[in-house]
Amino acid sequence: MSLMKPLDTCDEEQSRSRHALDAEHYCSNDSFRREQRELFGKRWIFAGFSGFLKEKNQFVAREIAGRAIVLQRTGLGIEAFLNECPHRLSKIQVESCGKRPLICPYHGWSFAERGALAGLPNEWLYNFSEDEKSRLCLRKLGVQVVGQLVFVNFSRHPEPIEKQFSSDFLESLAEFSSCLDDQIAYACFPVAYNWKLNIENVKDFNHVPFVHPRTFYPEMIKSPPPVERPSPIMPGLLASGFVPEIADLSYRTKASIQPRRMWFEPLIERFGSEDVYYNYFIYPNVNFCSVRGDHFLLQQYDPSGPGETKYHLWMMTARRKDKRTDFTALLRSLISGERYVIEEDAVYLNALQANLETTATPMVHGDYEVPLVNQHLWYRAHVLGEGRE
Amino acid sequence: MTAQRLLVVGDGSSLDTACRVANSLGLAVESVSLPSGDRFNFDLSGLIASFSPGDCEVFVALDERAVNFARNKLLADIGLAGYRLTNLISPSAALAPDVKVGRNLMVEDRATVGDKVTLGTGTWIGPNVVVGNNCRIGGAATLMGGVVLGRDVEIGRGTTIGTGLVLADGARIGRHCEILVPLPQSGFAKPIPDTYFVDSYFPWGAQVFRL
Repeated sequence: MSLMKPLDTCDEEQSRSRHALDAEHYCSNDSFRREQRELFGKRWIFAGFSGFLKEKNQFVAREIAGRAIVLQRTGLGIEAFLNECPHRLSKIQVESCGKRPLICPYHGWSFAERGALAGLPNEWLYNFSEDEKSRLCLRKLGVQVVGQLVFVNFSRHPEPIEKQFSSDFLESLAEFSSCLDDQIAYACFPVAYNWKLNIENVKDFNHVPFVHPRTFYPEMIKSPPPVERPSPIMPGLLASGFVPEIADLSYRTKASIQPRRMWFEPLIERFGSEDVYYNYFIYPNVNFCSVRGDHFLLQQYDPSGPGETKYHLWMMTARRKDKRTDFTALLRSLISGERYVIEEDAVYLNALQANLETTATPMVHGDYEVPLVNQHLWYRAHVLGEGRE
Repeated sequence: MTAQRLLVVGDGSSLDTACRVANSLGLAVESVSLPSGDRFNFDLSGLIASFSPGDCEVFVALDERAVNFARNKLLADIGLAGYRLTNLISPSAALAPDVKVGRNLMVEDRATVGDKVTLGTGTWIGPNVVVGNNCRIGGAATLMGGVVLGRDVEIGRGTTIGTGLVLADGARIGRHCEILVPLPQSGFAKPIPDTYFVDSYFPWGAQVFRL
């Protein structure tokens, strides 16, 4: 008797019990629009570092899921607005960061705290009534600062950030990010795959030996498999109808790595003293991590289309002991090294995206992928709206 | 009067290039490879023990590593040790008569440098480079082979311009940048800020900010 079954039958049966999200959800315009509305339009999304916003009128301008925003230090602190003038929707801040008041460069409209209209050059040309003028303002967004991380929320009535992230997680994140130095390398570059593939990739530690055999993998300390094989989790999880809380999707880990002292360690106030890789997964689209607490990277996968992502990458050391120390060359080296590792991933994620565009075959997840599948289950319920009345 | 010895000191293939240019000038040259544990900090003790600063002139030959900070530092260390720095300009290079140059300038074969150009100390001009009139090149900058600069271009201290790149008239590049692939062209050319990097991995650019 042959153990071989017809391939399609075998795959179909097995896949259904270990599958949560379809290929189309990585490719379709419909999924992209739903994400813009139900996920990036309603939840707290990382937008930048408070270090760029120390002085009044300093700003950071960027896009989040295709919408232009500006973070601006006003007399009230850090505020966030849609980066569009209510007149002709021109951008108020054109550069990506700098120090400049909220003045539209197109026709000179200016705005004050809370986005209120402050100046209207050649006012007689517009002939606005006082009532009309009072309603011309920048669209204000919700802002929360956690340590040095600034989050924004597009919702007109944002839910408390404590609902999206546990208080323990927020407390830890604040402590972790408060030791960052203020000399920062930043880059943004395009990648040709869906943003979800990248947050899944960083949660998937099992790819490291195969994709990064000469870069990241030699740093890791391998843990042996358990002596007794545990009972399978995934089929039961998927059959149960379980939907995780959004706070469960953000968490932190620590993994032991090879002990090593970097040459710049005496020049910084290192975070902790362990030889570990600190990892913060900030749902939906941020991975914030540190190698031994001496240098840090924050990467954000910002969707610009169903199969296109803007990859934002920030790198910095722990705080320098002496501000005269210039880490330009070090940061250039670190961000280039990290970019090389990212490219190792991108080769396979680009190819994976290309497959997803043409297939309806279900993915099959192993038990170690529960964190990925939890994301999928939450996504199905809250982004795709499945299981609602 | 004692004839001065010419020492080429540094690391890597830049040493060979400098020796070749010195030989093409008919100069007798001694090459000194400096030891380093990290490719950035160089041990000068052997140099100092073997060569008295009063008896020799030195050319520092080092590539653009560490965003040219390494060459900048080595130039400073050599100067502090009391050595006099000299220039090496290939006989096949052509410099306009009114070019202002600092010390430790390298101009490789067939490079041409136009009128009223300023070249800072430690600048390295690769082969076949063309520098247009009125350009200002900061110290310890590197123009790799085949670079073409239009007129009135400013290149900041410690910046590298990659092989074969062309910068239009009036281009402004900040300090300690690496422009290794063509800059995106659209409308008005914007000045490139300090510590800005463009290469095949960062086609939209990367930047180090001091907040």
